[in-house]
Amino acid sequence: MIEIRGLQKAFGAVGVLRGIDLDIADGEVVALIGRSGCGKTTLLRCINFLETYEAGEIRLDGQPLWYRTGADGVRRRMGDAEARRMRQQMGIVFQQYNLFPHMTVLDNVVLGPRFSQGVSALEAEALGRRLLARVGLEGKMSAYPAQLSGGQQQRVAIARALAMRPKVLLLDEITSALDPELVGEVEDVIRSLLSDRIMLVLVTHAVGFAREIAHRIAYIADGAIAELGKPAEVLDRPKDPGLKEFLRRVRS
Amino acid sequence: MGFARWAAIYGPTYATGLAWTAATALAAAGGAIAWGCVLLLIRLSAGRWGALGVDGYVQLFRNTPVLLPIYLIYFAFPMIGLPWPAVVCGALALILQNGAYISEILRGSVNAIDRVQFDAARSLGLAPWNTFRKIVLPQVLVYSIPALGNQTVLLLKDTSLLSAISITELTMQAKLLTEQTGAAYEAFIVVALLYLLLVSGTEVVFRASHRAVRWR
Repeated sequence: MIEIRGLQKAFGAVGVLRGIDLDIADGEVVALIGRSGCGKTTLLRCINFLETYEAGEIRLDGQPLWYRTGADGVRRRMGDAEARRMRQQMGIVFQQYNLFPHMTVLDNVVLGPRFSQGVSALEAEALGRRLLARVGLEGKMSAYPAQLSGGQQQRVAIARALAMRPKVLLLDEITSALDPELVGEVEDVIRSLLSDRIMLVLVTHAVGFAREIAHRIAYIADGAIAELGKPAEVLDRPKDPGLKEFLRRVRS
Repeated sequence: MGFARWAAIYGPTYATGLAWTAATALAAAGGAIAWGCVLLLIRLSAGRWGALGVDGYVQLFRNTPVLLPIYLIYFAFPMIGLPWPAVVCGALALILQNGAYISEILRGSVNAIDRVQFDAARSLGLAPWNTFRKIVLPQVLVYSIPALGNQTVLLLKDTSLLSAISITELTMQAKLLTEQTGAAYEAFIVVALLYLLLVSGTEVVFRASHRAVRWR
């Protein structure tokens, strides 16, 4: 499970996250919604330390992540090697896929296991083939990212993240850059992950999809969780006036 | 004098020159690209002092004529107990200077890599060395192929300076033939055509390799 306590982050003088507390249980799916600029993507990027943060704690299965407070009370970044090891327990999928353009689809997927986790070439390739088959791309193993549609590239990115055998998968607006007719194929892949009981944290504007797959939805406003609960509570009986307004806009 | 007779008399001299020019250019170009990659790695990984060191190195070689390191290595290294063959000294000087230029070419291409790829590399837990080796270098080299082609052509022509340290490359052979026969125009025109041949060949190779990259 993931425990987030008092997470604070600022870009310069601008506070982006103002004390986030959130627990994610094993196998739980949590959707983060909110207006652009509310801090939901920053929160996601803090969880796997693509962003630094100034205060607060994140724990994964009880292990404190990213920062250590020494006996002298000074908070220090975890060593790079240790941070890399911790990061391998998490996968992230980005809005713009972020595939490596000079590598084939299979090489993209194999890279992490092979060179971060020291899995043998043979084993990594078998894993890559299995995952690509799972996302429906067994026929595209030796294609390059530029030869694929956005939906296919995003499915490769999901396979690449899964190849690390992560405990949690972070999804950062993964369908926002896609043509509408390609959204479904990516959402189908995410649905198929639900039976794995892997933790999923997704930042999304697709409220309908969030309602369908999330166990809980967090509405974030001004860098804080303004409302948190089951989809039916948050989406159908919103209390926060900002959330009511937000839902009116995304639905119209 | 018929062509067959001309070729029988002078052919071996030109062929020797062509071989030396091609061999030193090939070795020096390979060495310079490798050295440029090393300089790029130092610049990207060794912090502020590493970058400053590479800057100083690049300035030093960019602002001095290449004949200087050629002479320096050829005449000074024996004094410190390194009496290397002339061709090794010459190639080394070309590698040191062109490596400086090439490291700048590669540095420019680093900016062509979308920054988000570094997020992806970090999220996979890739160590800096693997990120450089698997992500940065392959893309940087491919983006740099046209500029590397230009630099290789310049290097190829600079091998003529190695005549100054007694290497019997093309320019040296032309000079020797002129002294033997007194016919200056003939030897230098033939040598010019041979350089043209080498340069065109180089350009064809670089253009073909750029086209051969499938992922672009």
